[in-house]
Amino acid sequence: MVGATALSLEGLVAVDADVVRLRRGDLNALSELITRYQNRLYRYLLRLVRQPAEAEDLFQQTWLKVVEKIRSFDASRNFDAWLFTLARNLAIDHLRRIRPQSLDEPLADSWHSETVADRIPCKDDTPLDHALAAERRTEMSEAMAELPMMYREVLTLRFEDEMKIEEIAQVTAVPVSTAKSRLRRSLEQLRYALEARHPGGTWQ
Amino acid sequence: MSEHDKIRELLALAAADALTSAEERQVAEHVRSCIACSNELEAWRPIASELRRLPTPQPSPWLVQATLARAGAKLTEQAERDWNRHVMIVVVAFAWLLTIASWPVFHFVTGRFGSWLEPQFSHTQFGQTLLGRTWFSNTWISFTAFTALGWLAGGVAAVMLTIRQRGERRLA
Amino acid sequence: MSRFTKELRVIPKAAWIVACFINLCCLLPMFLFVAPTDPEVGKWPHWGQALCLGGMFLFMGAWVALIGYVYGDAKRRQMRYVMWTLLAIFVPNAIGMILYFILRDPLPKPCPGCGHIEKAGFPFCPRCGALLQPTCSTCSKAVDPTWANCAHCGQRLPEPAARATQDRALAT
Repeated sequence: MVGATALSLEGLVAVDADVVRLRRGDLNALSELITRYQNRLYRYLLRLVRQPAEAEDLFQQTWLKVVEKIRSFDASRNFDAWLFTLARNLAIDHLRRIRPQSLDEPLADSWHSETVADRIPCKDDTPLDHALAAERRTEMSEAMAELPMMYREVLTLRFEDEMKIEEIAQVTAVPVSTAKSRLRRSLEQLRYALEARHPGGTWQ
Repeated sequence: MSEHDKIRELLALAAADALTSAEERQVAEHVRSCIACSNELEAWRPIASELRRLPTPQPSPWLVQATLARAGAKLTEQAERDWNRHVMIVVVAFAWLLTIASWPVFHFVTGRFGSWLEPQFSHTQFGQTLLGRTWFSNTWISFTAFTALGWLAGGVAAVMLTIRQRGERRLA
Repeated sequence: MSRFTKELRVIPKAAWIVACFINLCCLLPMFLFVAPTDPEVGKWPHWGQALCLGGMFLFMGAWVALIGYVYGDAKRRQMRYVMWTLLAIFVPNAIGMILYFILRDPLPKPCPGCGHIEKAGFPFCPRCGALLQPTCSTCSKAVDPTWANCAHCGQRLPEPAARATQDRALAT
């Protein structure tokens, strides 16, 4: 699957080359960048706003902003972090305008409207594993959707994008120590929510 | 806070691979001797691994194309504007050079043919000495006349075109 | 191919031929016959004369090339190319050219349906009716994607998430 986790070293080098071409107005470079980041960026936005249609619109707006600001982007900086920061700011502005309360509170139904067909299945060993895995997955997704936005964000950046803590701190515009404690608290709250569904045991 | 408590706080982050190497060593050492922390660490691992294996949601199939169409249009528009700005600078510089270069050309031409006009436009008639210098020779008249004519014609053309352009835009 | 060389191809071959012709017909005779006899220039060394004349005719070449560019470019942008070429030639000090570069229309894009090229700015193709730009559902005029209401008729435009059908049509 294209670009589901943070880029490898060769991926990063290719991105830098594309960024240089993009500054000169090369459409192919833009196309390659959008394709390379399509899954990661969409996933991040979806975790933040929890509505697929809004996430798609924000996806387009992010790339429009990238085109607008690419000239003032210092090519030696990390393009990943910059892109995600732009996306984050747009998402937060959007949420503040449309649903200011959702920045902290859980959203009732939207998460379940994603159909199973929308997801890329993971490799699992046996049909039983498959069924258990599906159940675990649903539980995990539901629990995560109910966390406050700040926690969802740091969890998705760490586990789904596999960003380093320093990068996460850069994207969320907080010091590294705050990012670490946020990650810890988000994990604790997630575990608390999961174990609440299976009282009396740890979540397996 | 005792060391045990400190390590307990780091366990979740340990499962998330978010610790520095020094902290990891600390945790590894402590976990070897402390059963409670070891169990706790093992309790965190399935959560971390499941989070890592969350399926990636897929956007609509045409999202990339639609984004490329809109962002690409903006990119080409910006590239156009930058290119136009460069062209403008070059053309304006060229226009100035043309104006300045026309002066020696005029000097050259009037120098050769000015003698034909001498009887009518002698220096004494136009160029009364001012501080001992003749200011108005036929060459300078030609310079100024040509440059002024150029600016006047350009100004008139600009005004006419702007009026026409505005009229057209209003109808559209 | 850099942008500059791409744009150079817009200049019609005739312009290059005229530039060479002028240079050959005027440069050589001037260098050989006129310059040595001129009261001022004749005193310069030969390379000085050659340089001066060479510079003048480089200018002339650039000027003719620019006029050729205005002709070719106005033609491909579906503008009134005869008028613009005449303006570029006859408005002195290259002011006509400057006006052209300020006032030129954007480059038209070929229709994705039938490939027909029409002046830029129209939302539908005149030959096959394909959609070229996002339009208002009520008055069918072109609208900017960032607008909340249509600027022509005031109709409230759909939320970005609901623009899916139009986006899809434009993306293919």
